[in-house]
Amino acid sequence: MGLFSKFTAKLSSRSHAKRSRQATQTHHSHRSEYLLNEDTPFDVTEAFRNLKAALSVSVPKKDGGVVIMTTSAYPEDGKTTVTANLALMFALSDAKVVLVDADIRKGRVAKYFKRKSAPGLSDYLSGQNTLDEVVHQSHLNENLSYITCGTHSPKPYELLESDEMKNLLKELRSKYDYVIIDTPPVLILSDALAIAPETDGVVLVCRHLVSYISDIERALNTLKFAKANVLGVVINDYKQPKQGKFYGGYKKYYYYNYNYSYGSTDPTHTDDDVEEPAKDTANDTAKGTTETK
Amino acid sequence: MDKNVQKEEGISLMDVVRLLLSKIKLLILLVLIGGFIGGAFSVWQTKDVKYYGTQMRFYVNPESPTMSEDGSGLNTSGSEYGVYGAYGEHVFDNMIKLLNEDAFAEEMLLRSQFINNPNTEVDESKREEIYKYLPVKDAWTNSNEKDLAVSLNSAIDTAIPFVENIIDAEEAILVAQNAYIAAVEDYAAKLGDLKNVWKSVFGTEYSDLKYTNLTEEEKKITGFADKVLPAREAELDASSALSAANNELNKKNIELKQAQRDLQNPRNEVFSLWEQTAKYQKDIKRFGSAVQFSFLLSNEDIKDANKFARSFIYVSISVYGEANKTFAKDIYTILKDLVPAYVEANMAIPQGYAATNCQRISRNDGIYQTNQGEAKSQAIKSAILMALAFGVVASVAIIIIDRSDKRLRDYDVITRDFHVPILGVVPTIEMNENNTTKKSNATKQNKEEK
Repeated sequence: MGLFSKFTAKLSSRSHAKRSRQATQTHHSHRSEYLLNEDTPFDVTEAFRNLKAALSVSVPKKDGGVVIMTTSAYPEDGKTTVTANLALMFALSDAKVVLVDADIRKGRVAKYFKRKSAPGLSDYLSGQNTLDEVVHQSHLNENLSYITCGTHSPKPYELLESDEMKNLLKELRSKYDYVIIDTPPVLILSDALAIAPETDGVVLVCRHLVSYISDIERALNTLKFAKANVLGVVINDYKQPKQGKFYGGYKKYYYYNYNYSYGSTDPTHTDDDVEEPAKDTANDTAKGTTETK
Repeated sequence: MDKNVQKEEGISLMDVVRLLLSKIKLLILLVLIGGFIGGAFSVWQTKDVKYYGTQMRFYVNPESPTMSEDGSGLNTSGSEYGVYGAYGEHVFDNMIKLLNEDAFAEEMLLRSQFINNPNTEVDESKREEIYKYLPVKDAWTNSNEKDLAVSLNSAIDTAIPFVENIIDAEEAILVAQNAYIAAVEDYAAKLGDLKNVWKSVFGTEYSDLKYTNLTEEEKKITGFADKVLPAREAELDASSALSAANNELNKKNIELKQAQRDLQNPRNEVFSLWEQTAKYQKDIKRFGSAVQFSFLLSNEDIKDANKFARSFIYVSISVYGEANKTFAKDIYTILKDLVPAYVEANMAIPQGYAATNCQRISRNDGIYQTNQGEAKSQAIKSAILMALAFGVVASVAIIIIDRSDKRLRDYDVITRDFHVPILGVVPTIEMNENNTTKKSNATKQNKEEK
């Protein structure tokens, strides 16, 4: 049975690698399409809204902004997609948000916003650029800014561990309500561990039917060992079981009767909201659309 | 943590059902493939397979009830029709067991030599005895078991003179029997002559008592001395000759029995060694596997039908391949006579009956191909079996692979085992052509609204 488990694990890892390759090949050029927009399915938008709500209550707001770090066990778990959308969702709720791509080795945030990765974080930390030069305004929402990973550096860990990084976070805290940091996978690189203690909380992103439970456990233990405040886990790319008729009906019910979609008000709305949901949705959607333009 | 991981190993019936339902297309495909493979394999396997044999049916009936000792009438069983229900099921069970034993197969084997070596010049009883040794010799000739072969050869050499003694004794009996029969006939003729002469002389019927008590006066009657007296002497001579022939016959019978007794030990030795040879085992297996026995005891009410018992022994002969068709015929020929003889000799006789009678009642039971048309049903059977096997194996494989897969499926395990909350569950974001179309439609709609 042990051998068999190893065999199936090997097969699974191959399928993981294959899937990752496919994902890389297919989606690199379309990263921006993974960001929430008016065509994003209801359940996806709703999931990010729930995630935002959960994080809002998980990390109590201090005097400055809240710094949340996202990471994963291994690459291709959808970490950057989740992080970028989370930042966007915070921004949609009128909070000032900055998304920081701390994956200096292989950062992808830039691709989501269709621009080059330099100048970015590494350039700022190495003193090549000023903060204003590396903070970019998102075309999607006026509340959302982002810092790309920057020029490739031979010593990313040292950069992330440096005082400059700590100072940067302090400065960002003072300027933004939410600082969302996208970091490299925690089981491959130690970069994330350099930042983790400086954050208010860490979110671990796992990919449904791809991530191994043992890897998740190891990642959580590693983060805890690094004294990170693990807020919780986000399950990404979740495949809904086909037998979930009830769920389907539920989704349809909300989708067609209340027309919740991208940018609509939070479902934890008041009774007044329920009376005119279409109006709210239309307003929010329009806002999102305008911002996109 | 280990405990938690072990908990995760548990699997409920609903989990299994859900899992199999999720793979139902694969399962159906595998079942169909299994069915196809099973059917095709069966067709390929049975394409040139031909079995030859026949079905024989034997009536088993107790012989007519015996006369009661006081002569008051026939002994009958409880049944109105006497023979009905005479045999219990256990009697037939035992008989079938006997027929299935190696001893019966050995008997078939011995008789097969008798069939295949016909020699009309030798008396049948002798021929049988001689040919009984042919398979034994055959076993010895073909045996690779050298020590056994030497012992068997020696035992046969020892036994053969005793067999020859028996044959001599039997021939002597034949001679004595002929002499006895001739003496009987001669005596009868002489006695007849005496009776005729006596009647012509005395005018009365002859008897030994009258002859002994003849008076002197009567002995002087004309014709006594020249007719009755010679006839009487001839009759006495014939009587003595008959007595001598009878004695000789008895003597020869005793000699035969002695010869048979003398043969017993050497013969047992021969057969004991023979039974140890591989050839014997092979032949016995060949004969034993070619025949199957069964029985039928009908309980139906036969009151208005006939007065025969509904007791049958069924014999089914089946051998593989056209090359063995002759073998099937031989077995058929042997069993036609052997089964009744064996049953009559070994079947328990019900109380109140004289003997057991066994007759073959199937007359048109020649050898034919027995598995004609079976290929199709066999193919269907194999297809179903293989499909089931594939289904079961595939199901087990799916379950095992699924349970061995430690990837994240049920996210509750994270909260349960690692005590970390699930902040969110993001469904798959599908970006495809449909979305693009949907997007353009949505944009168009927005513009129209504006």
